[in-house]
Amino acid sequence: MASKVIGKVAALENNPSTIDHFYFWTDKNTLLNPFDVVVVEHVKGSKTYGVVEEISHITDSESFLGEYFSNDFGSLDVMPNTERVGMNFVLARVVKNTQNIYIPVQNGQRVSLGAREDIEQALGLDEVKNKTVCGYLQMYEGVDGAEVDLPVYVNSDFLIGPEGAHLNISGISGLATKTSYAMFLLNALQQKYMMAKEKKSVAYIFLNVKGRDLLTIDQPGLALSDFDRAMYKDMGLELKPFQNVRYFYPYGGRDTIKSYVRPEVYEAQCKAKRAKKFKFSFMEDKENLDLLFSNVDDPTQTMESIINFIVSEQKPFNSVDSWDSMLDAVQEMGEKGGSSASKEISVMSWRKFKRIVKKSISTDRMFTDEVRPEKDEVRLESAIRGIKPNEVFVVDVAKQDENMQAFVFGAVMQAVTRLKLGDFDEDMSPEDRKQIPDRIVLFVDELNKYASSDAPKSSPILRLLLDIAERGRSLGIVLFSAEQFKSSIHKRVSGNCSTHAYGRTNSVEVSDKTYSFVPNTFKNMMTRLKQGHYIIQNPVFNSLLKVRFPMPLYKQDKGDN
Amino acid sequence: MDRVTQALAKITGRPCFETYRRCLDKERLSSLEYDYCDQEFMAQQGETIRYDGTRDISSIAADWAGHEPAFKLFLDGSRRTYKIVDMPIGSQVFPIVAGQVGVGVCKRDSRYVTPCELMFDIVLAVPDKINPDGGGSRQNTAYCADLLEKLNRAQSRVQINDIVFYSSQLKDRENFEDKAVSRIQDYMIAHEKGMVDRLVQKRILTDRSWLIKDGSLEYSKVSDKDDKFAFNRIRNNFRRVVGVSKSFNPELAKLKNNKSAAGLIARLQEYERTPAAMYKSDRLGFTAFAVWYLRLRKPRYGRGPFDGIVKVEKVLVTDPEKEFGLESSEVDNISAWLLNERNPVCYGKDSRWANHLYPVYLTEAYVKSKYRGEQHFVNLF
Repeated sequence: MASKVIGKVAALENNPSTIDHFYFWTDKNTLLNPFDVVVVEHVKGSKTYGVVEEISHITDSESFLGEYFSNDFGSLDVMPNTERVGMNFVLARVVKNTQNIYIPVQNGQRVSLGAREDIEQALGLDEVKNKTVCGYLQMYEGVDGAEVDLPVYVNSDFLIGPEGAHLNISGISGLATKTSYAMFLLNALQQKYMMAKEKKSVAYIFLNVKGRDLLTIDQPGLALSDFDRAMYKDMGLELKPFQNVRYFYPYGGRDTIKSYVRPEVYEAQCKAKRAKKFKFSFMEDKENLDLLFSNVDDPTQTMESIINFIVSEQKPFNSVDSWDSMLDAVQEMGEKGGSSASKEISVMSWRKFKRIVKKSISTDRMFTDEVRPEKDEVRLESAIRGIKPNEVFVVDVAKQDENMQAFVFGAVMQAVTRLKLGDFDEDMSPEDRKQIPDRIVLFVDELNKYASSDAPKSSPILRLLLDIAERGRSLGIVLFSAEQFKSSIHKRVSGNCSTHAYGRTNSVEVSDKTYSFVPNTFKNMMTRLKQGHYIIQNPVFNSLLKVRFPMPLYKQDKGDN
Repeated sequence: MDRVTQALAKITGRPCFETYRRCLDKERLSSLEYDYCDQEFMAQQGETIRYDGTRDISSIAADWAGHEPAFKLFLDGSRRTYKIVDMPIGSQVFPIVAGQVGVGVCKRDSRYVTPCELMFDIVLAVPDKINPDGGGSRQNTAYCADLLEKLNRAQSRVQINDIVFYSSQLKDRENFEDKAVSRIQDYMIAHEKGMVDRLVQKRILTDRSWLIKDGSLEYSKVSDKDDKFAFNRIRNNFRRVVGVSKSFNPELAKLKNNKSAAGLIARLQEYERTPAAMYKSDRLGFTAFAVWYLRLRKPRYGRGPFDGIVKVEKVLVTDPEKEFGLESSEVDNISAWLLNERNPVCYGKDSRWANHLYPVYLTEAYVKSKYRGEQHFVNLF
């Protein structure tokens, strides 16, 4: 198909073409959208590709006063015989030249819409290897006969390592559909790595932090629209939900679970042997005690000292073997004049420690020392230790309070890190060791709770997150995270993400310096993005991309009851 | 290959003096501000009904407002002149002047103005004494054609479209540069007429598509006295053409008792026109015109009493018209159509905005957009 010429380059004294940008004019009725790719003929028969950043409409009227005068000095009924001359001029950012010629494009050169191959070349989509689909791109929306729809693939080496890793999704609740987008990507990843030809093995652990969001991800969703079906087909994805899913619910005492999951769903999961109740026992999980203090400011590190005191089994903790006995020992340490009180740690600190720990341990039944496998009970760390390639673990923490959520998330991170560091290797058979997935993808929503830029520096959760963000790529631990406001996330966490997805957000957020690299028009678009639309940033792409994604393939249970 | 000036020196056998190459229009702007052949008139009635005072056109304009406008074509001629080199001939030194001459027509369709026709030429004005053999106009024409061919063959920097002679005889305070500029102006006017003819031949200029010509219609008489048929045809072509001048010298308009009509014109109220006067002159290309003034805008919005007023001219084509003047209803209608062209304005872009008609302004801008930059142009020679 011949390219549709829409305008010509205008290089002016005040607005010259540069290596990075150029302007072109178009008819005022020519439809064009930010993010659209345009093609300019350049020297030596090369083509320069630009991405539309700004579209302005101007007339020859020099001032507002001129317009006022043109209406008989303020008459509202004037309909002049002649329309004022007007046109659109467009600012485009240079993204590529087919022959790597980056001298500025020249005045008067024709600018046209691109064909599918042009778009792929311009955005770097043609060079993507190890393809994993990350959305669907619609270019030239509304331009009759020129619309181009194409799936966008990301190099999975840049999404889950080893070249780059971690994905961060931001956007306001409800409108951005962050969880849905994460699930879409993860489903695509699972489908890809379940194929026999893939050498790399990947497993997934999702934290369900809200309602029943992720508690039915192995069940087929509602009927898809024709457009969504077509998108899935185009993207080469099968219409099936997650496979090999196992659910982990916090033990709620008396053989119950602490979860919002619907009883019939839980029952079905239990029947299918896909649901477990998780517990933490003192003897095996006491090293995670520090995770209870993730939101406690501890500038003098006294809480840390106490935890070390307990974990190193100093007297009287050398004889402690359960949560209850630990609380007794702590009580003893906190009693004034107690015989065995440590000289370095004040009584007041022990009391503070007790207050914090007792509230969690004595009220939450998952801190129970007896784990009964026959009752489908399991230690979370043990379960994670046994994760196999292509398995999806959903750890439900939705019904727990913020502290407990942080504790469980921390425990999961700790277990995954230890697994990948080989801490459990000694206890595993060679066969089991071979089954350790090359990559474990952790998905957590509300990242701002754990990796906020305001989080205490001593926070153990933040420490674990930073470790995963910075070392995860090489260890094979990949963090897929989501939050409302990216600006509130610790810079070292967000900075280490190779892929960023921006959903709809608000104008206060985009005014933050986190978004300083985003052109103004794109920023404003971020505040208007429709549900299911995302702006993607990945090192492989030559530009930010606006993509959309179809409805998820799993059953989304968002009901209140 | 040679430069134009080198080639000219070789072809004519006369050396050229390098000179400060510059645009002459900047120096001569003030002298050409008014229509150059504006003459005294207003004494004779130019329309069929005699009106003693001014006439309010607003209601007629309002009636026409909902209809398709009659004016659909807009013509503007424009030229820029540059002194290129000095050439000594005998004891005198003559300037060689180059001109960029453009005549453009824009048409309006569904409220949008788009280019319709364009002629753009590069012309050289040389003194008639450059022809060593002298002779009449035919010999000069032949010499010019020969010189043009040789010049274009001898250099490839610029394609010259025509060479015109200017008279080497000076009267009063005249100077050669003015004479050269004047000849280039004549060249432009000839092409304006030619353009109107072309529009008629192409059936673009019709009863349903009238044309507004920027400036006066008071062209100098056609030089070729033999071509009377051509002249009649040209006059007929102007049946649907109205000349609208932004600038005029109000003192040249005289009433019956030889009193100046400037006061009458200045006192025109918004949307009023003066009675049309007939103006005849054998000296001019067309023998008779109806001329009147029309106020497009309130006087208080202009810089002076004549801001917002345009001078309107219409060639009287038929014998009854020449005898009794234009039908008053036609004068009213033309005035009403022009009133309806008053918006939008080019305020801020042109200091004459109050007198400008926007489509004409666009046509002017279109023609001027074709000019090559001054430094680039003068160095082509």
